[in-house]
Amino acid sequence: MFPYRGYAGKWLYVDLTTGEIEPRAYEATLAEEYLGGNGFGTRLLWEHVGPDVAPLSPENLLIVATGPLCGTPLPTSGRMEVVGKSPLTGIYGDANAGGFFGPELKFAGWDAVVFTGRAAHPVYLRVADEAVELRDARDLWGLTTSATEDHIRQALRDEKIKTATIGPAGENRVRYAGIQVTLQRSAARCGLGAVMGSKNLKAIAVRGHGQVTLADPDRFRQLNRDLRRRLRENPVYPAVHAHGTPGIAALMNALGRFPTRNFQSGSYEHIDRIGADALEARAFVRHLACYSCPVACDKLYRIPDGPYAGTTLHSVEYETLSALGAGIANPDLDSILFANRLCDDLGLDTISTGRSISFAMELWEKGILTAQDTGGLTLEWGDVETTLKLVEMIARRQGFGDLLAEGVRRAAAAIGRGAEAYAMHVKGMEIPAQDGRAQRSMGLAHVTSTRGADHLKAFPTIDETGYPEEARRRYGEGYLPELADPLASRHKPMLVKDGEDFGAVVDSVGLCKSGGTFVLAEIYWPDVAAALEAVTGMEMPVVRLKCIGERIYNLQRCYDAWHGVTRADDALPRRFAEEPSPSGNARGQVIDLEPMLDEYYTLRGWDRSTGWPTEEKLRELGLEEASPWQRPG
Amino acid sequence: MIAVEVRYYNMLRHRTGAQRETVALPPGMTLRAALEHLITLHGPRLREMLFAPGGELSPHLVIFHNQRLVRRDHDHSSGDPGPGLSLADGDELMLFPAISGG
Repeated sequence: MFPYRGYAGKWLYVDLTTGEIEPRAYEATLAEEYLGGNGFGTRLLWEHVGPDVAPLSPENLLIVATGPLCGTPLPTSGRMEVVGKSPLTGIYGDANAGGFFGPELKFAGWDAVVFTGRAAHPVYLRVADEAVELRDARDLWGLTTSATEDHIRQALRDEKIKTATIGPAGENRVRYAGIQVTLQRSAARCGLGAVMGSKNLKAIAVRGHGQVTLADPDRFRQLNRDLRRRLRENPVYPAVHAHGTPGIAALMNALGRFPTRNFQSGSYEHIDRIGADALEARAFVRHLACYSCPVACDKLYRIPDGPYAGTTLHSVEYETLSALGAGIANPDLDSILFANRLCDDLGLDTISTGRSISFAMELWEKGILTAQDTGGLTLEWGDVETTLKLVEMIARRQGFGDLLAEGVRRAAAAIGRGAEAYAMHVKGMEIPAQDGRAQRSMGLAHVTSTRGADHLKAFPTIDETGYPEEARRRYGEGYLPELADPLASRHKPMLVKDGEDFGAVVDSVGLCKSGGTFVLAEIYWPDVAAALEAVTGMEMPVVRLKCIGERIYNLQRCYDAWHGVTRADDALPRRFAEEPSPSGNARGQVIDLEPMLDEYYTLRGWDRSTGWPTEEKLRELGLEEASPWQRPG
Repeated sequence: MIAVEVRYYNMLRHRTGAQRETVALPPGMTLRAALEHLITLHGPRLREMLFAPGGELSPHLVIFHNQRLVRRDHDHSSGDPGPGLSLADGDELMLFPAISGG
């Protein structure tokens, strides 16, 4: 008998090669040491997918996991986690999405679904409470994500089914194909949609009628009320609610942190045409919220007229305004929205898609690519027609799109002729919409992220805006003023380490990073610990929760080390160290990572020369068996 | 008088109803005094977005002066702009809520 509330207490193991579906009991020790979600996936990946397993082979796992807080009435508790070995980076990979899928899986009575193998033909998994079956998806293969969801809902005559689907990009194994989680959200990064496609798995469709049980309902009710009140009283809440993540675009542009023209600049001269205020005026229809979220940062947008008239989107992110806007010097907001919808339908990560196109455009600018290389395409900055064509070509691996579908690291290696200098990636993953020259903590976060270039592992929001209130509240007066200064390096390794450990917990329990934990910076270690106690009944002092976060992050690092990652891979492209930023508040700035990395490894208890967790640190975390020192690298 | 361009973003745009405006100010007026002047232009409800109850700049306001971040905890030796800086003709102020996250 599983001892904790909050969990369904069982998960599904689906072997797509044999078609066997096996319910498995959730091990109490797994919950105690890894919580769920991200931690659950990390542990399974480490146990079952070694360096000999190719990411797109049947032996890779696709792990879809929820956490114990997911599906409770707690604010922002609608997140789900997807974990697998990434075909983009070849190392640990994960992606996270909000919406309603995660809670629905819990309501159906399952904490996770783990896929292995490869089906003989396209299938989708239907989960209807205890009834679970693989269904033929041959007639769905080739459809967009939205059409797939429509077909499944119609076929099963249930409009409330929640889906996670891939589009043509995942089927064609584009290395940065994402998984669309209903129309609203995407588990976009790391190419896990390609892993799904490699398994001939078109979709997961879930419907549940149960509920998540609570260990201490009275304490939970009080906590839930308190957190909701604090979120609504947070002074930044109105701005986040009003505009969602696009609300930061103009501010990041002023900081010089809004990647433009493939990171040649951090400020876009046409920001007022693509920022939140323009977006609101042009296309806002109404606010949308994920499951149990009082922040409601999603919006329904509709292009009212013009060549893309009638196009609707259920979410537009800050990242996409850079990737498909400033990043490729495209000031046409309507075309950004249309390209965003196209990526969602085709099942592409907008960040890596946009960065792959901006990489190609800079190569064109520098004369490294010509029409001979591109099959006749011209790649001028801001060329909307070419951009939209390329998005389709990438998803379908046609012509020059086939090369860009490999991601910038592989594309640069294939092109040669100095193209590597313009491939903006870390460990093979395209860099999102931050510039370490303008915000030191983000530069460090990009390189220490266990899934390649990423802002969300550490998510150091504290120093983005240069103001000290949140820094003081979380860390104390002693870290000021540097901790709140985006251009200061001091204390940033501490901020990044704390964010990574806390983020691992947030992704493991099923909360949202944009709904109060990092954005708004309202919900922190003591709140999550208290929520876990009230929901699960597990004793969870903060010190234990911190240890769990550290354990998860260290195991991910060990996994990467096992796949050959060392300190040498914790590096930004040369541009950030050698080309002073021309932009905004960051004008004249470059970033020197090495001193921050030294301090970061020391704080982590990692060896400074290799960047690997030391044996002593691993013993402390109960991870002796994961030691990269004992395994061939 | 000097002309200073002020640009409002996000909730500040909502509150003032303006995206940008050029305001006429006495020469040498400080940034802090200029913000007080904006309250006289746009009404007292703007005050809570610009100043904390104690009268200091709101911790939830971000200001750029001529594209440089204004430091609330201004250290004169740093050379960074602070609330006491004197405005000059042609200066630009950008006012944001202190939103982060992405």
